[in-house]
Amino acid sequence: MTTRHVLALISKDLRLHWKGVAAAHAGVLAIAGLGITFGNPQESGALLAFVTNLNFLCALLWGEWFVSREKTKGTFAWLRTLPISAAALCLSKFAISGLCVVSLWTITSLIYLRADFLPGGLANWVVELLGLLLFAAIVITSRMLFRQKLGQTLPLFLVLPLVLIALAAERFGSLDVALALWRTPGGKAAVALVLAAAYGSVCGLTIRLVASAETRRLVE
Amino acid sequence: MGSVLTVTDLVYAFPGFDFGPVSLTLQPGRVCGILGPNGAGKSTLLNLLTHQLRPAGGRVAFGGQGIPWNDAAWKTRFAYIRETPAFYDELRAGEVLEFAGRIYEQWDAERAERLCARLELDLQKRVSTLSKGNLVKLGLVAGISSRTDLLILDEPTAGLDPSVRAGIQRALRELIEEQRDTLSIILSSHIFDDLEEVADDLLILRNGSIIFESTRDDLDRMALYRCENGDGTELGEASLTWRARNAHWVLTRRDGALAATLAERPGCVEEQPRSIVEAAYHGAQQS
Repeated sequence: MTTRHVLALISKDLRLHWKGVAAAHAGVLAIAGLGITFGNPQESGALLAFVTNLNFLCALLWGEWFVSREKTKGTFAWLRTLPISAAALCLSKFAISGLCVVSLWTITSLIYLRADFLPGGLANWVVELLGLLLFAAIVITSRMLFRQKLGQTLPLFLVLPLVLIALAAERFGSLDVALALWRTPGGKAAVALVLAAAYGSVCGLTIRLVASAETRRLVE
Repeated sequence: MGSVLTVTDLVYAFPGFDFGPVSLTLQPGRVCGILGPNGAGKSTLLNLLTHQLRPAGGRVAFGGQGIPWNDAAWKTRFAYIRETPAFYDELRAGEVLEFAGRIYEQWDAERAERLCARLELDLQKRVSTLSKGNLVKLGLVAGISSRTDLLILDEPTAGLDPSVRAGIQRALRELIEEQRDTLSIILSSHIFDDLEEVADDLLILRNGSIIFESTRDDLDRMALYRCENGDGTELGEASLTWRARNAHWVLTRRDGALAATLAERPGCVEEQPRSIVEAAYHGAQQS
């Protein structure tokens, strides 16, 4: 029953948002193309950062589209009167947002970042994808559980400690140690596992919180 | 035939508003009308029954079985149509029904088609272009086609102009008559006319509490007395008493001892209201 409901909810979201999702894909491809044309294509690190940031920005956008609309227009309240479990409701949002993340990351990687990820960088690609998926899941959770302004900004605040840790590591010389660990045979797998576990935890926690929440907490 | 819905001592608290304790029983195949002014707690009661709000205490049972919070199985047993149904604006009416059909396992597509034709609902129209009356019709089609045991309608005709309201009322009456054997209905309103013709049981809510309840048959056996004297304290066995226009008004069973006493008492006169439901409602507002 849950699978049937998740599929129905995903297909409903696709029907509602496919134009926006397609336009965002086209927009990112165009912006990245302009970046290559007018920037310095030799600086592949800069291009990687640029395309990755565009993907993170879109992950923020998907959450906003798939959840905010339901909250502000009250359609969550209708869904909550239907025989849809909290698990099906949340999983459908994680799934549709995950689909968009995977699709955009794959397309932009194939077009602009082949040199970075192929042939030997596939593990890096997977780790970055997991990072994107985790960020997208945090966006969905944050928007589901909190009101507009807090819900939109909280994911960015959660990224802040990571940035501060990286800056501190660089300043105190620990970054080299971290990079050495990352380059060990099991380093990337360990990071991937941590990210996957974090993703699962975020999904599980969201389902629990939405299941126990009253509908008025889920609409604005 | 469905199961009995039993609500026992249901309570809830908003800041500045305490709801309950409220108890009620809805027998299968009956229509329960909930009357009350705005802010009386009608929507709160319906939101508690449908697990939109989490009760602070009390129990809701269906067929004798207690219902766990947010139980998806319970939600297959009812359809809840709010005052302003929130469907997806961008979808067509037909797409909304198609989505509902994918959610309810027991969805009756044929019935949905028949009802749409009967209610003259254009399935090609986008939800954003539907009038409030048509949104309510769409909600009714979705609710009835889901073949649940219980249809819960929260002020479905509020805010509609008189002709649309009459149309919805007529459609509701017909649907209720047709589905009487299979469907129990809870219908709330702050307009007694909305409930008078369809309700088998009547509850009047005020300030979060039930202050009057009666079956349709019992209502038909009630009499209204207007008493010029007395302070009203001796009217304990009355179904409802209130003070208005320098008199005590008493609603009581025509065949009861109190009615016999009042009929004999000087200064007490039996009134002939246009409607006992109306009298009870106005009395409930003033008591």
